Amino acid sequence: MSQQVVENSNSLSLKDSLIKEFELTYSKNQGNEPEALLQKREAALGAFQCAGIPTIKNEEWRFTNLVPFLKDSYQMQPSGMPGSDVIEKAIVRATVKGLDAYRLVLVNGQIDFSFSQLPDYQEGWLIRPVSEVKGTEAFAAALNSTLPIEKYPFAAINTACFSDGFYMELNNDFQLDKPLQIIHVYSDQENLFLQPRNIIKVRRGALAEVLESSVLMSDKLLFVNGVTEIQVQENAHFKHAHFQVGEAQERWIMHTQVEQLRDSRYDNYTLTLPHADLVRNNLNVILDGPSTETHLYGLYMVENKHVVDNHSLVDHRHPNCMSNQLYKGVILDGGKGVFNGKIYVHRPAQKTNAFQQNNNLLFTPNGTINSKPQLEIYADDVKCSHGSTVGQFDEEALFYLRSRGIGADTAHSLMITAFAFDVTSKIENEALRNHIEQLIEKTIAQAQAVI
Amino acid sequence: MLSIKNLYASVEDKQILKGINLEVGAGEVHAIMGPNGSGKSSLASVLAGRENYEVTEGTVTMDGKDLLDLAPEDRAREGLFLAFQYPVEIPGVSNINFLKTALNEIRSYHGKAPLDAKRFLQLTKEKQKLVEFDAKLVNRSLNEGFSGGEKKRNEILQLAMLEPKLAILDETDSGLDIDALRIVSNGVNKLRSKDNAFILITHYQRLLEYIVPDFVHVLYNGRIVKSGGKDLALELEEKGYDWIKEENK
Amino acid sequence: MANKEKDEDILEQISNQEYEFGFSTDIEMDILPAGLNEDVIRFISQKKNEPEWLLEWRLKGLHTFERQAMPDWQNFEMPAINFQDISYYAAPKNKKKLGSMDEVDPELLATFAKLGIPLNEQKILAGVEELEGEKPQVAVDAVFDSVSVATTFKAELAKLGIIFCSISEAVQEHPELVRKYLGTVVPYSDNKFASLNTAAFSDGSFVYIPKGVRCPMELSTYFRINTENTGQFERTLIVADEGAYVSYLEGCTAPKRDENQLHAAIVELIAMDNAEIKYSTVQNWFPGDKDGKGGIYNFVTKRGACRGKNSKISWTQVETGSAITWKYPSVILQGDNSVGEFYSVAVTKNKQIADTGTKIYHLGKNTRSRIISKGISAGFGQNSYRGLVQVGSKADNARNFTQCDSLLIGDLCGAHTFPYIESKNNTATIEHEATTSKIGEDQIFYLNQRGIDTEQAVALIVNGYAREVLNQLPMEFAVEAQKLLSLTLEGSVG
Repeated sequence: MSQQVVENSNSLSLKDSLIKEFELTYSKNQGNEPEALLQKREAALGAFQCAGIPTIKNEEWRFTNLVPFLKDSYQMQPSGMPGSDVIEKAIVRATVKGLDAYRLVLVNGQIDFSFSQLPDYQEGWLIRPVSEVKGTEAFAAALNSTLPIEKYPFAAINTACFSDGFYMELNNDFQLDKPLQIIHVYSDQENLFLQPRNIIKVRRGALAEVLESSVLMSDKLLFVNGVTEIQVQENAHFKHAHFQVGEAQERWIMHTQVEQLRDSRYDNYTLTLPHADLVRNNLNVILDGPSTETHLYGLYMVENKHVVDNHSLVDHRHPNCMSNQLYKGVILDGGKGVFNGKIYVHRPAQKTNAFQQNNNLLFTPNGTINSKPQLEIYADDVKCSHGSTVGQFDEEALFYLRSRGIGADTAHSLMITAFAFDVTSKIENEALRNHIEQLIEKTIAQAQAVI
Repeated sequence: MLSIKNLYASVEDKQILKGINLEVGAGEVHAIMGPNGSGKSSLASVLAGRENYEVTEGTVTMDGKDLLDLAPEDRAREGLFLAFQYPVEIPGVSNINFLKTALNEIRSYHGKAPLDAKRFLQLTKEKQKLVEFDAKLVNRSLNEGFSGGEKKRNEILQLAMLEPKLAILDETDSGLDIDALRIVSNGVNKLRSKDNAFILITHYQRLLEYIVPDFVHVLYNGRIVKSGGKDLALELEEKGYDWIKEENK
Repeated sequence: MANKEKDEDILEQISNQEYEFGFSTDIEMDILPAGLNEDVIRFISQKKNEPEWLLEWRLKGLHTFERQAMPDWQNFEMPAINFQDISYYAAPKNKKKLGSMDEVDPELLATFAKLGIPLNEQKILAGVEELEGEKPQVAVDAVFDSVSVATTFKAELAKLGIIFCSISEAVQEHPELVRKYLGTVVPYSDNKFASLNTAAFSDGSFVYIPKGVRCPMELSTYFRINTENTGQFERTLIVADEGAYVSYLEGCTAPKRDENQLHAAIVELIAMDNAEIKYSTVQNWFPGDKDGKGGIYNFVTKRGACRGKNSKISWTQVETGSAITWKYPSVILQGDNSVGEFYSVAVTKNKQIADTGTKIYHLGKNTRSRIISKGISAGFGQNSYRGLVQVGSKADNARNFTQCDSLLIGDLCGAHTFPYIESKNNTATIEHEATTSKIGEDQIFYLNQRGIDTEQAVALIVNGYAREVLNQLPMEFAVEAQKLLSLTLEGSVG
């Protein structure tokens, strides 16, 4: 009982320090920011104060208990910036072998152009720090345009407090000739709680491929509460991959809000490998026009007491849209995996095709899987389905491999790779695909070494 | 090469094999025939080390080494190969990757370096040709969506690649049309040598017209009740299994 | 075009169709004034001559109920229910303890006869003789508003040691059994409606099948709400001792009334080693009219415990009635090798709401479960499947298969699926599949082309769609359920 009280007071203290952070930044922002933005921040703070830090009594958080992650105290702003040697090392660590890509580097949530490699043409696209563009009308209009912050307390407090991030805009029919890798470098001497805010606008007919990854260069705790808002306009196509490979002292709550307009396509790959302590991904795709196409692929490998929680929402509001979700999870030694996906089909969204599949493999006896695939359907001329499985290895297949001389470890490794193949095979970029496959193999080998 | 002595085995407390004795020498081809449910496939499973079979008595050695003590993969590495009656489909594991992994694991067991990519591909091509295996299938997922005949041919390709000492073909002829049966048999015949041995498990004499055995054994009710030369197969074909059942009432 | 018009005519006609069982019976009743407090609970308990422990337990239920919030997780807006507007006790005025069936008020017998529920053993027996071997015997416990009015075949069953009586009677005659098992599966604090039932339960059925006995006939309860402004809070307890078997049926209707009536029942099932309980429900409470006026609020807690090894509990439900259905018949698989099953067909039309499904808790080793749910939504109906499959860390080799399909008829209805899958054991295998689609126009066309009209085609398709569940019902019930399904959906294709 007394334990409970202590935990409560600690989570209250995080809430309090976030509110304090708002008060500090708000007074600085007054005069620098347009009234519209200040109002949004105030409203967002209200939403956060009202909801507080969600507990497992909140249906959206019933499988992920945040209490153990809230005990520590954090600095809300970086105490300084790392040296260039640190940043260089981080970039090397984030490098994907054989990937020919542009590079955008953010250090503690702020763009560092000096380490970035961007195309030299000026026409067609724009990348600016959020701190620079947040006074513009375009920015204020894009902020929370489809994100109902009252439902998402973390997105709300991010809105109230954010100070920086990247703002990217691709002009009509602009096609980025190479993928862009965005490397988020984090480093501080203190425990750090960061709230980056990013906006991506892919205008009519544009095409781009973005890969995001992050590197923590310190042994202090890092808690990232990030929000990225993406608009994919008419006929545009945006490919978005997110590599989540972290350290045990990292905690991530990432909210990605996507709005798709008529005939657009959005592909998301969320690939979560150990060792971050907590990873919570909210991925909401709002289909705001007819005839869109959406592909969401997720792969999560969870180890030792860590939690990976993927929440997805595909919101079908118009006819003739197609969406497909495939999330595959491997629970290694003692990890916990959560999948909570929702397909919502509104009454006008006739001729919707929406699919959702979640498969899980429990590798050791002490893991946990919580899967909650949901369909909410208010239109009749639709084809919707979902499936979810939890299981272990197919004994027959294992025996077959072993009878060909393949050892148990290798056979397990082959089977896990095969299990992940449904997701990895969907990655078109070969360098990326090879990279992730190698990471998977490495992860399995490490897990086997532990067992 | 293979020596089975007084082998008893059971599944879920049900006795399936009741004292099998069999000696297979290098260069020999043995056929094991018998009616359905006589224990033919169980024998193959026990030899390969399938988990749900429990050996209650007897020994199995290969070149003096106790097989029953070994894990399935080590039996394979020692040179025992089972061509499955129903090869499993494993989506996501490519045939070629599977072959490479198996070959190199067996090589490393014998202290040999893994084959490099070039030599491995060369070997695959060569063996593919030998067993008339469609090159396109090599890059597909293991047995996924293969026809019955393609699966059986894939078993023979693996046999060719892994070059076992002893190969057990479990009902390899079942579900094959004449063309496929010819291709599979040709493959086996090409792979026969004075150093290896084969056990053909079959219900029908048909396969034995293509792969001529040196010895034929009749398995009934968990025991070998009759042994002889290739003529025994013809006699069985003519008289049917009822003849055996009568004799062993 | 002509065809379309015809279909619309049919729709019109059906929407105006009367609820078949909407009559009410004029009978003298003992009715407690509306309101809920300790005095009411004491009154009920005293009226039933209950022992002190039972009164205490009822009061615990009442106090918990007063503290509990209404459930808020369901996929519809919970209606405001004023629990003080409901009368918690209504019984036909016949104080005398009945010596035989002949003493039952003839008006009551007539009511049940009109509903197709024969309470006259003679007649049933005569019927059996006539149709030797064709018609199985069914023993019935008839519950009219708050109390059990008649239980048939009691004597015959008693010869085998089977106890089948109203729960009030069981409290008097078999207090040790009732005390041992009552509330052990659904605790008094389980949820607000369960607490309410614990406090105010009026009557219900009690079944005990002794060791090794296979109950030779179907047992059944028939529930009838008659009086205005009453709720029905019955409580059923079925215990199958080691190696026993029983199949139990439950049916229900209510008169057509403009206001909503509350039905908050509890069913507890207990299966010991090697025992099997099969529980079937055909729920046809008054669903309200086409504008959603009136109808029963059906908030029910049903749960079974497979306590013994190799035991089995199977729920089958056909849900066509009620304005709102809120129920999740569940199974706790405690014993090793125990089996839980849930088969459901739920139909919603007009403004009906169904939020139903199951919870299966795998605790023992080698436990298996199977869930087949078929939702059919028409008109403005909203149909949600809500299910939980939970595998504990000790439930080695647990297996679950779930198939949950939704069929949409018309573009104003909704179908929703909310499965929860939770596993802590790596040897468990859980499979969940769900699909949602509209009724096949090509199938209807094919049947039309073979000379079958649209209405009949829909009935055929829906019955085919629900076949797997209907097959689980005892024969006679299956035929009734099939008719009910066809009737419920008549004219739903516009």
